[in-house]
Amino acid sequence: MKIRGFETSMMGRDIDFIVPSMTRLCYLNEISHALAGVTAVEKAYNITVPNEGLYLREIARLGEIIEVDAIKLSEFINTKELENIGNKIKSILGKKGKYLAVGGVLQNISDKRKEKLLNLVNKGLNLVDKEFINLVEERKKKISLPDVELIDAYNFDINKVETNGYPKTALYDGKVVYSGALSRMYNKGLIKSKNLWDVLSARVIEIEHSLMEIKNLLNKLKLTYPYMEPIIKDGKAVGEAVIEGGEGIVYHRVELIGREILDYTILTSENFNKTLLDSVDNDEGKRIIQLCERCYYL
Amino acid sequence: MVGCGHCGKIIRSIEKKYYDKLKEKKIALVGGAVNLDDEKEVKKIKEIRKNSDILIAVGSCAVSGGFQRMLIGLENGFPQRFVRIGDVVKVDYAIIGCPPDEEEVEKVVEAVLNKDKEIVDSYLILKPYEIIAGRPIIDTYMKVNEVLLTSNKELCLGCDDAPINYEFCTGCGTCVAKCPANALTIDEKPKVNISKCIKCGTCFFNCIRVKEALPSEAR
Repeated sequence: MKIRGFETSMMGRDIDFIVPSMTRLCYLNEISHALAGVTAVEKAYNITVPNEGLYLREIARLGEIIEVDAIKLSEFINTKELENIGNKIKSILGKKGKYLAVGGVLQNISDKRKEKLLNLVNKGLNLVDKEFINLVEERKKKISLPDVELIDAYNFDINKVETNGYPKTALYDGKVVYSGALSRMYNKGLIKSKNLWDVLSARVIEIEHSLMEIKNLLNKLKLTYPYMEPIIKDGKAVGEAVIEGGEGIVYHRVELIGREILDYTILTSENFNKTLLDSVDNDEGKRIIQLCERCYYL
Repeated sequence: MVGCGHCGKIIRSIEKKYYDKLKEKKIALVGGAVNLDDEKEVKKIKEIRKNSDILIAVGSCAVSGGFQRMLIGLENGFPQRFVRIGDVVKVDYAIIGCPPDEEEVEKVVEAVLNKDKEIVDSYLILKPYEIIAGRPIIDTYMKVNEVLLTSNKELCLGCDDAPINYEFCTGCGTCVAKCPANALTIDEKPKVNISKCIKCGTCFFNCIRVKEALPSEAR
């Protein structure tokens, strides 16, 4: 694959183009790219999103994380059903996030759908195979892989990022780092070690954790209107957002004049993970990292 | 080919289910647009064509260039040209949608597998997919030479701001419901919000009067 030019292709376009285009950057990260873009615009113009809109977005983002974790684990264990559950959950924003917009979410879900989603979450919780973590621990003893430095969106400082070349490879604070499930679970204290093998265990733990989070959010969700018409000012504005997507960090920075996009910058976990991948000389390690080419050649 | 990978996921799932039959009948399913400036990719699609008896383009990027046509691309300072598969090799059947409906893809695959002169149904199912595979969806679609001559990536399907010529439109709203980018609104007749449109062609293909709107030789 060669560079598709998502950043340059955004210049001169209306902010309405962010969701349909960013959901088509990468199937695995479709919600998080669109969400980061929309959030960057909302930050640029101090736009408030109703709570229900925020809940729906968060549920979809967690659904995406479940789907990606399941897809990436499928090379090691059967996670097909969990993948489908994640996919159904992320569709809360419509196919390809079509109800996501600057100002919130254009449609809420019905009571019936909420009930169905809760059932789906419970089904998913029963499918999580914790035994796999023990298998990973056994493999860890047999094949040695290095420990990795981690970054996550919760402690991210763009000024510490150093990018090189195009497509971009990135270092954080001068170090080779990993971004993804392990970083998130380590940050939350749900995993204690930072070995490359732990990426696999982190994915299993994260699926369970995300399902629990979704359950809480669904219980909080009221069926009121999740959207408020945004007020877009005329002058220049800059907004940035960094969130955790299915693969890892998704950072979007947008420069605007009114509704028009002047400049667009995207940084993804894969810019960091490519540097890590190049530094690993073990096939098992490469298989665990599983670089997403679409997020790299954006 | 070049795309977001959604069609690739659908294709993998179908290939898994029909692997033996697809292999036996030399049927290839391909998703994504072709990067004309990527020699490897052009070679790959030509090889796929050479090794298959039937080639099915899956998803709007493969069928019409779809969203990928709107991208500028960049490699060593040069823009890239993303075109539909039909601009490089012959396509036998084309399934539009961004993403296409997996059940629809499966229905077409089954119909192609069971294509038998005795089974009239499969011919009826396949007819529209043959039409859009054999020719651009509507006349105003730019030909590959025109794509090469322009850096304009706004190669619209010719719909302008209406998904179908108002002369044919009954205002039924099917296109509005099917639009995957939420780019259509309807007030008597549908209107396209060009800022949201991804040129996937889903509206046009799902129009109940698309056959009347197509040039006569394509009906």
